[in-house]
Order: sequence, then structure tokens, then C-alpha cells
Amino acid sequence: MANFSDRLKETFKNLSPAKVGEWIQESQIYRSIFRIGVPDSDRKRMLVMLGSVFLHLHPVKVRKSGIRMRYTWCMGGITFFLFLVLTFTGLLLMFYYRPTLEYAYVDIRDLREQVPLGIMREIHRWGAHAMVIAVWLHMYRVFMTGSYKPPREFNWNVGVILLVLTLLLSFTGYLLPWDQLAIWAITVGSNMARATPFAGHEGPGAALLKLGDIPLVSNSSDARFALLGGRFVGEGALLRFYVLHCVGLPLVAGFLMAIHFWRIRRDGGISGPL
Amino acid sequence: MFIKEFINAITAPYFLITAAGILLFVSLKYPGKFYTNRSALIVFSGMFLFLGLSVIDPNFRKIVTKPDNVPIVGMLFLIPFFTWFALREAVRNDQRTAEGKPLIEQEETADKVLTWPDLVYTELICMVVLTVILIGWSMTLEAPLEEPANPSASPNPSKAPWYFLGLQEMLVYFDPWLAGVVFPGLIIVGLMAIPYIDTNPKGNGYFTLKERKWEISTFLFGFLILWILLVILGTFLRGPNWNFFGPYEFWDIHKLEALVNVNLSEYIWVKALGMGLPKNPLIREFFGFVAVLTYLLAMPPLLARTLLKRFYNTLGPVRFHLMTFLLLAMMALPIKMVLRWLFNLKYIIGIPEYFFNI
Amino acid sequence: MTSETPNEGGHKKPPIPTPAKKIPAVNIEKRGDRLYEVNSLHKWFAISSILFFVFTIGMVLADYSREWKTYQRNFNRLQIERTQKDLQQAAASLDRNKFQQLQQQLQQARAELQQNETQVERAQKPVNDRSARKYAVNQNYQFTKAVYDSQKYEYEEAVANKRSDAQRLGDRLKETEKKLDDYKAELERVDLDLRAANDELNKYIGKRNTIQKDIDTMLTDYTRLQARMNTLNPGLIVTSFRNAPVFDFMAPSERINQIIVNNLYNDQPFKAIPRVDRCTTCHQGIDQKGFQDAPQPFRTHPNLDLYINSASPHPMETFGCTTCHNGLDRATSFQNAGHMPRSEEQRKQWQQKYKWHEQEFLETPMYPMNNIEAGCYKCHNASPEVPKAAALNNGRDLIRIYGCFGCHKIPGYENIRKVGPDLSTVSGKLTKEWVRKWLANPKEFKSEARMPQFWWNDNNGGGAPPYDAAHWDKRNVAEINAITEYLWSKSQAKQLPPGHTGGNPAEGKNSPTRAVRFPCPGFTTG
Repeated sequence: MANFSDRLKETFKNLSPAKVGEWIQESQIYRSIFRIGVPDSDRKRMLVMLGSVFLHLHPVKVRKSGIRMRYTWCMGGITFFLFLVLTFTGLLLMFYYRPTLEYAYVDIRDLREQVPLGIMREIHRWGAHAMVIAVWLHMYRVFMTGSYKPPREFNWNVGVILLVLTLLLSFTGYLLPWDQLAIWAITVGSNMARATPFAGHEGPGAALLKLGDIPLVSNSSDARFALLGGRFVGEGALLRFYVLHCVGLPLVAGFLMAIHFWRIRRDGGISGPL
Repeated sequence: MFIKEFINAITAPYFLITAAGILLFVSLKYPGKFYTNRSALIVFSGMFLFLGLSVIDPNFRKIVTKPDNVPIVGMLFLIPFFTWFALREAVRNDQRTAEGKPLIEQEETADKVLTWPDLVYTELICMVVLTVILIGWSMTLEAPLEEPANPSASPNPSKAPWYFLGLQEMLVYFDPWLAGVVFPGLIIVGLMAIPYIDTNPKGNGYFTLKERKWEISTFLFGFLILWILLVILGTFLRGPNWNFFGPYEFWDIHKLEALVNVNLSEYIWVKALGMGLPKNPLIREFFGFVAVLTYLLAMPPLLARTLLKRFYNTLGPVRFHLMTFLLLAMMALPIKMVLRWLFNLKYIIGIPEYFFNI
Repeated sequence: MTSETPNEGGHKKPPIPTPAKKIPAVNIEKRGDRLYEVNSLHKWFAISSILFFVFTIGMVLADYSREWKTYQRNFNRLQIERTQKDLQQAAASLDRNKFQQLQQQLQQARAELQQNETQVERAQKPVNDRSARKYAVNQNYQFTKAVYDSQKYEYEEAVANKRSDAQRLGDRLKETEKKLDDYKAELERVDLDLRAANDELNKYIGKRNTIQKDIDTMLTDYTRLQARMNTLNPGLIVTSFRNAPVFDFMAPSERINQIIVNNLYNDQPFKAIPRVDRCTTCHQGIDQKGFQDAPQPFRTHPNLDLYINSASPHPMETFGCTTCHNGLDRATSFQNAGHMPRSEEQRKQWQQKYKWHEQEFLETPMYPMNNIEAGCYKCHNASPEVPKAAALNNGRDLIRIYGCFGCHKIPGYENIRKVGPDLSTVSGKLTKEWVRKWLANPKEFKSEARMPQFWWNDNNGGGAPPYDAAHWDKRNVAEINAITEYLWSKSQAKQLPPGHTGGNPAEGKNSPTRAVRFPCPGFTTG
């Protein structure tokens, strides 16, 4: 017993933050999570890049010119980070939002009136606007540095699709508050689909698609109907946009992002003069 | 008062778009004079001054401070800033090349640095700063929430989300099937085609203007004038009934603009030939078809022999025709704009019976 | 799987990077192959992290400090004040003499008890013993009863199914029943014993208990108020803990009150949305008497007999607030609720005090107090008169008199005859000049004319400057002329009934009674 208390005293006497830190870093739990430890040597700095699933998106070494802020404007990274912010805040918002005519508007209203940290909606909306601008600027930078040129042609294409997806994500999310701003913006936007050649009932050529006298393309069988799930922006459109906004489009975007990042590495990293 | 009226007048679409286009091309012609630190100082302090003074005007303030318009105000500064920044880098690089010195980027290309900490750490800082900005922005500006949706009461103006306002602005000049479906599709296709059309091996991985003047000019015209400027125009300067309103003008629902637009067929059959319009739409629109087909089919070979001869030689026929088609499609918009402004031309081909209007 | 690191149980440290010796950290900023100086990165990171921390705290605090909480805090303070006053009053109204007397008696009784301590103890013992005995017997009885019930079920089941063992089960049941009766008898016996013992004990302690009870009765009000006080003000630590940020999810005293009105929906286009009235979050005294003179928003409703009370015709639980008052049901702040000032003066006051402004996007702002009866009409639109709504009734009378429903569609007025005369033959009856004069000012021609004056009013020529009188004169005259010409252009010639031809003047002269019944100007019987 005396032995034990002595040892306890000894331990406490030698206790210092540095010691505790060391002890934690040598514990099995810590080492099982962070294999490499504090990257204080070049060897470890390399290993850490290889060992972490998040960091291994990057190569171990990068060209000095390639990571200059004045060269990349950091816009790709900002876009990706905003995507993460939007995923996180969007997930929180999904807890409070029901995509029905009855509740959609009042649920958004309640985010302002009553829900704790309802400011998530603001972060989500402004983050979405910022992401659209960031993705444009990213494209702008990539064009201005000619970074789409071989061998990066395909990745540019993936990027263009991601840009379109960003706009579609923002567009589908625009409807969800179900206020006048939302439904009329979507009405104006989706009215264009009415004029799709052949596939829209007010598009050129649609009148030619007939079985005898029966028109095949009408306002309840055209492209706009498929988009909205109805002849006007109603509950069908709300549900459709909700599912696309929360599940469909993010999944596709995530999938393409994986390709996009992978191809940056495969195509020689961040571009630079040869 | 006089200044306000003057600004209201010069922001009219025809003037704004023309002036911006000319400014862009002139600046690209003499980049060394335009993209300098001093010009940036003048332009941006001018912009801040303009914004700062204009907010005093209630009509201006009402539009600019609409919560959803605030990001576009931000964009109004960001896009010119990055344009200036990219072209200033390009000018510097071009100068270095002329002097036989290595590029700015080249000086450091050979050096490789460890990703940890140089990249990872800056990324982390960037994320934290961005989060701070987002929180601050969200605390100062409440997200908009208007009246509950009412499908039977349409607001005037009804606007698409701001990033699609460029398309909505195109609706002034083209029918929905072109402005809303074909052109957006061509924009996407065109963007994706860029790396396959552009075979210029130079300018890969660094800022330069001299080595890719043609590509950059075309892209900047499409991106800055035909997209960003139209978005800004659609957001700030289009009011009820999609009428033009100057920045200091009150958005009066009753404002009327004279709609005196005339189809090409009427110009030719009625005004020039002094006949009535033929009944058969194909005959009626004969000249329109000729014009459009000439534009799309005869122009490429013509260009291949004259103006764009060097491209035809380097690109080969397939790439060349793809490029000219996309280019002609893009130029269709400014051409139609000019025709509208000068001749009040409504449709080149107008067959409303089949929704086929160009 | 690398062959060097076979998994041999979990105890071993993972052998991957295990540097045998610690490599000393290289002073990284002194090396050439770096893009950024690590120290400056540290600086940036520190600054941004501090900012991030400050902004996050700010965000949480801004989210936490909501307007309605202040109101609830103030109301709590108000209630505490009132309860304190009530407590003082209750204390003052006590009969001091009687209270002291009772207190003395109690002391006396206690002293007596102390004197007879041994006797009390002796009397207490049988009470304890017999209570224990009663408990044991009662338990026997309860258990037997349970057995009896189950046996009864089995027996009855056997009888119903005509089983052969019914007889045996019946016998068993009887046996148990006998046992049960025995226990019951014993229980009664023991209970009697216990009562006797208690009576014995009460001889000593009964007096004290009676006095104590009297004292308690006297203090009922006071004790109730004291308990109320304790719930209202459980101490600073308790209150601030339960309402602290993050901890307030458990049992906050500051919370949103809402009335969910089940069948009086909020009509939105194409959908009826359930009404969730949160008004009582701030208007906390609305249903409690005694806050008539409290400052808003705590004031009691001025008419509890007609509204709010559960016995009134409009109980709060079924009607909510916004059903009658309008406004945004879910709002929790003064501004968002859609309060509307009753006067210009109040508008200015609110603008100063609450930074109030009219809401751009609220379709149903509250009725200002002077128009409050408009809310009654939502339901009471079938009956010609709404009781206790003088202004509303007056307004509806005016609608009927002036015939607003001629142009405006108003439910309830569909089948009423329109007010104006038929003008389709006006040109056959009147002159243009007269019509112009009439239009300019109907009351000038006939003082009790119902038709209002439409020109030269306050806002079109009759008002004070800045109205340009000459301009408006010209305009009004032009409009009146235009209307007159319009009437004439649409007017048909008057179709007079064909004159009577078969009359006999002589006969007429001899019939003076008719002339008396229908006197006509210019008719003379001469």
C-alpha cells in the first residue's frame, strides 16, 4: 500500500503538460489513430501525407509555383470547402424541414423564429451563393492559365459538369423555402423547358409529333412536366426538387469530385509551366 | 441630379454592352496600359466611390441591398479584380518573355516543397477565414423569406435565380427555345470543347496574353460581356415587365417601352417590295432562312479562306468547323442585339405557328 | 497485409513508424525549401482562430438572446413583485392575537406531553405492535385472496367446459374461501385492537394535534403564496443554470408558449396550414386576472368574459389569438408578429422604441386596435348584426346605405337591390346641365342625397395646397362632362306607356275621390 501511494506521489511530482502529452502520444489508442505522430521531421511530413485519407488527396511534394495563392486564387479549394459547409448545414436543416405545401414555408419561418441556431439557413444560403461565384472564378483561373490544355482536357470537362451541377444544386435549393421568391424564380426558370425543341409543348417541332390528330407532346407530357412533376410548380415539384437537392445531385457531384481530384494528381498535379 | 440622369442614361443596355465590349477589346489591344497597378487603383476606388455615393439614393439602395443581390454586388468587385489580376500577371509574364527572362511561375517550378505544412496549413487557415466570413455575413444579413408561395399571384418582375439572369436577359433578344434551351446547351458543349479545339501548345500553366490572344479575347468576351454583364444587367437594371431601369430610377410598374419591333419578312415583303405578306410561312420567311443558313453554312468556308485562314491551316477541317460553329452561335447574340438596337428587328425567321422564331 | 507485421494479439504497439530515437525537430523556417515562413503561418492561424472563436461565441449568443426571453424575465419579475405584495398582505391580515394564543396553547400542550413522557411511551408501544400485526394479517389476507381469485377462474372454466375435475376444483375453492373468511375476521379483530390503542394514545397527544391543525388552517393562504414564491423564484443559481445556453434544453423556465389551434386554419393559397399561436410567449398575463394595469405586453385581456376564459364563448385553447387579431401566428418578436399601430402617434412611438416598421411580406398584419372588430366578421358574417361590435355593425349599415356592393363584391350582400337608379333612359328624363350639377355635388341639390360627392374632395381639388386649384378644376369639370356625355351616349329614348285614349273628361271631373287619393301638382278640380 505504501509502495503504491509512493508511486502515485512520484507520478504526480513529475507531472507536466509536456509529459502528459508525451504519454498520450505514446498510448496505444493515440498511435492506432495517428500512426505518424507530430510531423516534425521531413520523413514524418511525407508519411503524414500518405497515411491520412484526407491528406492523401494531395501529393507529398508540390511545385512551389503551383500552390502560390496568386496563381491558384485558392478558388478550387474554396469551392470544395463550401461544398462541405453546405453539406453540413444542409444536413442540419433537413432535421427541421418537411417538403410539403403545408409545412415547407412555416418550417423555414420557424428556423427564424424558434429553432436554436436557425442561422444555419443563412449560412447555407450565403454559402450557396458564394459557391456559385467561387466555381465561376475557379473556371476563370483555370482558363486564364491555360490549365485545360493537354493532359488536363478531360478534367476540364469534369469541371464543366461540376459547374453545371453547382448551378443545378443552387437552382433546386432555391425552391425549397416555398415563398413567392422561390416559386416564381423556379417558374421562370422552368418555363424555358416548355420551349425545348420537340420535347416541350411550346418548342419548335413539338407540333409535328402527332399520332393522327392526337398531339404526343402536350403540357402534361413535355420536358417541363418531367422537370416539375406537374403542369405548374406545385407539391410534385417541391418533392422532386427536394430529393434532387438533398440526395441526387450531391451524390453525382461527390462522385465527380472524386474523379476531379484524382485526375488532378494523375494529370501531373497543379499545372505549371513546363 | 444631372449626374444621376447621365448615369441612368449610359447604363441603358445598348450603351452598356457596347461600351463594355469596346473597352474590353481596346484594353486587350493595349494591355500594358490598362492592366497596371495604377489603373486598378483608379478603377476600384472609382467603383467604391460610385457605390458609396450611390447608396444615398433610395432607389439604388433598395435594389442593391436586397439580400439576394448582395452576393452579386460582391461579384461586381471580384470579377473585375480577378480579371485585372490575371491580365496584369499575363502582361508581366509577356514582358519577361520579351526580355528573355523566365516566367514568374517558371522561377519556382523546379522547386518542390513539402505539402505539409506549406499547402495543408494555408488550406486550413483559408477554411477558418472563410467560416468566419460566412458566419459574419449570416449574422448581418438575414436570408430572404417573402410571402408564402401563391401560384395565382405572380410578382412583377418575376426573376429567375440570379445566376440564370443572363439567360433571362437573352430572352429579350431570342425566343425561349434558343435562349433557354439551345444556347445554354451550346455554352456547356462549347466549354467542354475548348481543350479539343485549342491546339495552341503555348500558355499551358502560366498567365500569358500575347501567346494566346485570340483564345483569351474570345473567352473574355463570352464570359465577361455575354454572361457576367448580362447577369448584372438582369439583376440591377431590369425592373417590372423586364423593362430597363437606370440605377437611380424608381421601379415603376406602369413604365412603358415602345414595342415597335418588326420581323425581317415584314421589312422585305412590306417595306422593300411593297407587297403583302405571303400566306405560306416558308415563302414568307424565305429571306430569313437564306440569312440564317448563309450565316451558319456559308460563313465557315468563307472564314476559312479569309479571316481565320491560319486556324484552318493549323486546326484541320473538323476542329475548325466545330470552332466556327460555336463561335458563330456565340456571336449570334451580339449580332441580334445590334440588329434589335439599330433596326428594331424582332425575328429573322418568325414562324410563331410552330414556335420557330429566330 | 505485410508479412513483417503479423497480427499477434492486440498488446503489441503497431510497429509501423516507430523511430528508435527522437529526431530533433528541424528549425523549419530557416530552411530554403519552404514557400511560407512557418512562423507567419502560425501568426495567421492564431489570428484567424481567435476570430473564429469570437464569431462562433457571438453567433451562439446572438442566437440565445431572443427578444421574448427579455419579456418573460420581466414578467417573472412582475409576478414575484405581486406575490411578495400578496405575501405581505396575507401576513398583515392574520389575527395576531389568535395566532399567539394558539401558539401558546401549543407550547402548553407540548409541555404537558413532556411531563407525561413515560405514559405516552407506554401508550405508544401497543400502537406500534398492533400496526405491525395488522400489516402481517393484511398481507395473509391479500395473498389468500389472490389464490382464491385464480382458483375461482379455474373452477369456472372447468364448469363451463364440463370437465370432469370441476367437482374437485369446487371443493378446493370452498376450502380457500373458508380460509379467506378466517383471515378477514382476524383482520377486523386486529383493526379494532389497533383503534383501541390509538384512542388510548390520543388521550395524551390529541390536544396538541388539534391545535396544530388550527394553526395550519390559519396559515393556508400564506403557505400557498410561499410555495408559489418558491416556484417563481427558486434562487439565482437554479434560474440561471436552467436558462443558461446549452443547458436550457432540459428544463428551462424561459420557453416558447404556443397554442395549436386545430380547426381554425391559416388560409394559404391552395393549402390550409395549422395555426400555431405563439403570442402568449410574451403576452403572459393575457388570461390572468390582476394584470389589468400591468405594462404591455403583460396586460390582462380587457374582456375575459367574452374571450380567453375557458367558460367564455371564445376560449383561448380553441380560438388562439390570431384567429381574431390576425398577425403572424408563429412569430416570437414584436416586429415579426405584425403589430399595427392604432394611431400616427403610436406608430412613431413604436418606431423609436422597437425599431418597428411595416412588414413588406406579411399578408395578414394585425388589425389595429381601432379596427379590431374586423376580426369578428371572419366568422360572424351570416348574421345581420354582431353583438357587441358596434363599429362593425355601423360599418355594415353604411355599406348597405351607400351600396358599396354595387361595384365591390361583398359576401352577404349579393341579393340586395342596388342603390342607384336605373340610368338607361336618363336622357329622356333629365337635362345634361342638371346631371352635371348633380354630379358636382349631390347634396347641394338634395341635402339627404345618399350619393357621395366624388369631385373637389380633399385629395382632388377641394383640399389645401399643394393642390393646384386651377388644374384640378379643369380636370374635374372635364371628368364630369365626360361622364355626362357617356351616360347620354348609352341612354335610350324613354319608352313612355301609351297614353290612355278611352277616357271621359266629364267622368273624371265627377270623381274627386281619385284626385284626393293621388294628388298631383297642377291638378285642379275646378
